[in-house]
Amino acid sequence: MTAAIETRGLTKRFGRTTAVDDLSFSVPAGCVTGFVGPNGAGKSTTLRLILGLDRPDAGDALVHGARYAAFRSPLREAGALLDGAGFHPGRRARDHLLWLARSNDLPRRRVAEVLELVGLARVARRRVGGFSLGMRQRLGLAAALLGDPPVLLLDEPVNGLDPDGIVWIRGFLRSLAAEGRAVLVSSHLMSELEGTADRLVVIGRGRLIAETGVPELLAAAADGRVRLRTPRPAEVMNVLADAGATVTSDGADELTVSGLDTPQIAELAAARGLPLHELSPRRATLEEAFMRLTRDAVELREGSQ
Amino acid sequence: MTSALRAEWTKLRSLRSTWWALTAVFGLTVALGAFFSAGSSTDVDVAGGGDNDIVRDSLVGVYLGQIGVVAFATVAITSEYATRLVLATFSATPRRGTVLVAKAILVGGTVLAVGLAAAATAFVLGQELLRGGGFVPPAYPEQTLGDGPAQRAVVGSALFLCALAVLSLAVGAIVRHAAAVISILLGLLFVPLIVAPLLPEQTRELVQQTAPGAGVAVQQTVDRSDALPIGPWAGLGVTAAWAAGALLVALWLIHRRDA
Repeated sequence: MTAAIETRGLTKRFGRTTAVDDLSFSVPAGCVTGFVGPNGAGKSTTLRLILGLDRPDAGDALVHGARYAAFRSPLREAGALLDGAGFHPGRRARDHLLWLARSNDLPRRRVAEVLELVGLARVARRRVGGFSLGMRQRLGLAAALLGDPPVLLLDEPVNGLDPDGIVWIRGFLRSLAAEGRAVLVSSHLMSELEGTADRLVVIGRGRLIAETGVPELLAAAADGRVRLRTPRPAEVMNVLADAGATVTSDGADELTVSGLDTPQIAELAAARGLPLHELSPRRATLEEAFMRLTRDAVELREGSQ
Repeated sequence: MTSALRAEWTKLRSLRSTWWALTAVFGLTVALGAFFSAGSSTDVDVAGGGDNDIVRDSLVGVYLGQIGVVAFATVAITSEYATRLVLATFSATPRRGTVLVAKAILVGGTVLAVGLAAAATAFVLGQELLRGGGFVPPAYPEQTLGDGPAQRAVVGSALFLCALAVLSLAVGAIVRHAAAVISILLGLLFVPLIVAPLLPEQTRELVQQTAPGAGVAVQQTVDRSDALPIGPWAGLGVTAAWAAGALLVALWLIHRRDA
């Protein structure tokens, strides 16, 4: 089966800087793929290369097995929200979508439909110059959805959204993936993708650091530590240390334990009649998993130089 | 091509600046022509006919109108680069040459239409005012839009502005920054006018025959010493050649560069 998006050895240089360096990854349909890396890692350039807006120095990028620029009606194949892509401030939201619809022979009714979908129906006749950053993001999203494409490329879509908007867009991305679309979402903050992304493509300095599923990544980052709260921390600490665990104190009544799992800890405490108010495996956040991953990658690179 | 034309037309008509710019082209062309014509006078009894080119005089506003045309056509493309709208444009239509040609057709077409209306209005108004200033038969036979030379001057003025619009759009696509493009265009149009009188005759004639502004020769109906040293249609052809040449360079470059 052809991947929705596939890059092979993609390379782009700007003068002496290599923005994207021999990058190969693929994006499958039906899930949200997070495209993560620090600012300046080459995420936006990669998206522009996929859309044929920049010319690669080497390698290629394919959408459903074909070059994006070869499509007759590209908006029906892939929709994009690009970081920094603008609107003419003097044009009404509706007219912006209308010219896009005309350019790909999309039915005019799609304009009203996508404006409704992103919650901009009421400001359709307003000029974009008066829009907030959040409204612009929504309009960009409407433009990406105009051709009802099976592939979506969204560059930092959370930028500029208010808290309501962030909750909304997360649910929206999930529902787009549930409809069977391939959704590629870039972000420089891993935490933004927590609970949204199923897969991750992590890049740094234009190179691939990891391409992995989120559950695998979290499992790898989880280190078997357990957190507990007790009113008698000193005694609990002694008991667990005697049983061979490493215990650190995190506060007046909090301990972090490694070397024992939750049932063992609970049984040891019960046997001595020590009360536990809370006992839970300490789960790594996506952010921590990501930090670990990028730290390893940075060390690897420094080691090889 | 049809969808690109429809998309670009939607873009063009949905901006108020389009209508202001076109109104300015019309207003400047008519107003300067009227001002000049109203201020011109002559002694009635010129033996053997006068040598003023009253057709050209009434169309002098085209000199001012061309500034509006340059601004309008330049901004039609540079604003896309300035706002990064161009990313959306080239994502929607990856065949960038088609986009540029569609823009050229529409910008050229609207300028042609407005230029025609402006030149015809300026001519009719100007003839009326010039008659009031003493430019009357027999020295100055009455000129109407139905007369060959006058018709050529009016239609030719509009074609000149149209070619200038395409030239501006093409330079805009190459240079991308409005201020630079407008400076280049106004330089190409007005520097030859300013330096020509200072040049030795042969160089002067060469400059006047090859500058993009040579197209205004299409307005000349009387052979005068201050006339451009090139025929009306040949002059228009020079401007058109500049436009075509710049458009070809722009088309060649547009696929080779990052958006």
